[in-house]
Amino acid sequence: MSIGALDAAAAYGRVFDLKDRAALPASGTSVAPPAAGGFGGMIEAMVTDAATSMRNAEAASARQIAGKGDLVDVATAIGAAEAALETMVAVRDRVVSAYGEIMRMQI
Amino acid sequence: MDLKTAVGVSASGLRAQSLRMRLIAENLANADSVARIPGGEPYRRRVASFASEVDRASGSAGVRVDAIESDPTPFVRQYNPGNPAADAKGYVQMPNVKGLVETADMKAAQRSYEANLGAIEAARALTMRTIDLLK
Repeated sequence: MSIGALDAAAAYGRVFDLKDRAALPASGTSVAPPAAGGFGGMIEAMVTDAATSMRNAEAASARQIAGKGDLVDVATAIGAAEAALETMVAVRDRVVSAYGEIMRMQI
Repeated sequence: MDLKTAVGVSASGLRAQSLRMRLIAENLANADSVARIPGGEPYRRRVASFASEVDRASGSAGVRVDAIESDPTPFVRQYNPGNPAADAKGYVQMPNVKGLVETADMKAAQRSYEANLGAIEAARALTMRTIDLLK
């Protein structure tokens, strides 16, 4: 698992940093290029991380079924994958609900 | 994150205790294994010794099996002239495995394994509750 549960909170905080940075050049003369990171980039990175730990868990299970693996490895790899996926889903839900909140704002 | 490291450390404990369990099973299975040649040495009881091992990446101290050692306790001599492994005087050397000692050791291994499982469960529950903060 390359993302921890607390990293998620940090990533959530970074979204706002990126937004601030994106907003800054927009007040300038030229059209600001889209931010390199942004929400899409962050989610993409998290999905990639979660997918990597899922693949590790899958490989460990496959080794176990083939009779070459270690049951402890399977259990820890699946645990790590579950935590990564749960973190990603929680951050996504939180950010999407924040987006929905903004869209519902009265202008 | 430290909770993840804790799971890794407990996993090393699980591996160490499962090897200890394997050795106990070997000892019990070979409690009556005598020598192939007359007057020879029978099966010698084996025990695992553990050592702490520091993982450089996380700085955590896991456990590893340092060595599998043979128990130097003397063998039990049993008078049994009919046994093919008996020496010239009719004595057979029996393994130095004691059922009671192995059973007690097995209980200790079982308790230790369960303690490590409990630690993994607790660390996982804490991780999940931390994620729940985001929800």
